[in-house]
Amino acid sequence: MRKHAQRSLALLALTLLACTPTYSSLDVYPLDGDGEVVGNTIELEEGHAMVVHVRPVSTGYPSYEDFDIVSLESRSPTIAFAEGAREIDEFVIGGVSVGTARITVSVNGRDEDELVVEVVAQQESAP
Amino acid sequence: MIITTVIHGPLSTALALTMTLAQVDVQGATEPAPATESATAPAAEPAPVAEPAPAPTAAPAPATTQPQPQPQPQPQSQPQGYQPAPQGYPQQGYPQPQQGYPQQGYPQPGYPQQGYPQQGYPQQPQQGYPQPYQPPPPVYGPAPPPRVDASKNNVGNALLAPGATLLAVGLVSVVFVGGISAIVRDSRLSSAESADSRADTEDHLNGARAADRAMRIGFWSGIGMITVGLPLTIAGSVLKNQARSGVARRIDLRATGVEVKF
Repeated sequence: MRKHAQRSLALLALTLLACTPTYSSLDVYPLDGDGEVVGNTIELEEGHAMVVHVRPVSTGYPSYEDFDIVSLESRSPTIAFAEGAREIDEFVIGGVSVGTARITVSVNGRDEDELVVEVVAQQESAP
Repeated sequence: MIITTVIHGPLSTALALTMTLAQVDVQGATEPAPATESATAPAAEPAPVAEPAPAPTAAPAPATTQPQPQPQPQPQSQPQGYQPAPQGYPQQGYPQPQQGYPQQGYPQPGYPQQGYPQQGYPQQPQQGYPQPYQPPPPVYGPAPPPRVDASKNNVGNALLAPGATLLAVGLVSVVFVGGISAIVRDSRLSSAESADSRADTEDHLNGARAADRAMRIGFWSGIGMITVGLPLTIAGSVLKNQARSGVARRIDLRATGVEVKF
């Protein structure tokens, strides 16, 4: 009986683990604003902002669903900041000062990856 | 004296015949009157037939002068002190041939009469002391077949019990846990889409995610239990039915006197 209970608990734990998606990578693409997105690196000018769409990618089954929440938190808010937009998977990233900032990406409250934001100086526009 | 005997002889004979026909006092009437008393008794007085004589056969009357009354139909070998058996005596099953004892099924040839209480019975009056009553040995029929409980099929029960349990729990998990969780998840997702702020949306999405996880766990664990429990239940039922039918076959064979072991 005890052995049977242990097997049942093991099966339940395995099922629980199998029901959680496994993080693989991030899918980031720009929606609006001045900036470029290359992989996990975002480049924008100082004083400018852009809106990006960030979704996690799972290694296999099960995949991330709409209710999987992604949150971004800048480690150097004096260089770049990240705030949530209207939609749940859209964020506004702005360059405060020149430099490189790292933004931690959390999926469902768990730190999974990071984004690199390079803030460059504003280019003087041609007269 | 000779004249008196000649006169009173026919009278006494006629009186004795009259009393014999009337059957007065069965016990005492069998004893004939003493020859001397009947010879000297007056003609008006009947012979004392009611009083038992001390020696009934020792003094027979002369055949020429005193005709003997007809003896009563008593067994010749029955002693005088015979008394019927007491009320509490277990007479059932005891062989009493003179009373029409039903002899069916009783071992008649070798019946041990030594164990029968001999007091007062005319069969063996030579044994002077009563022997203790020994009931006849019980006669048993053919031994009944041993009872075999088909519900004690350990193999079938060992498969059937956990199989049925897993099947039941699996169905409950799929139907109730999985189904209800799916309903909750869809409800929370629709609420998240209509939320006013991002914080409310995140709250609803967190709830929807928890419901979805519960739904997945309930569904897949239920499917796993059903997958394991259904074959166990089928196998256990089949083995139990086979064992029951085997017991029935053995019982039938034993009823015919043939036992097959396999």
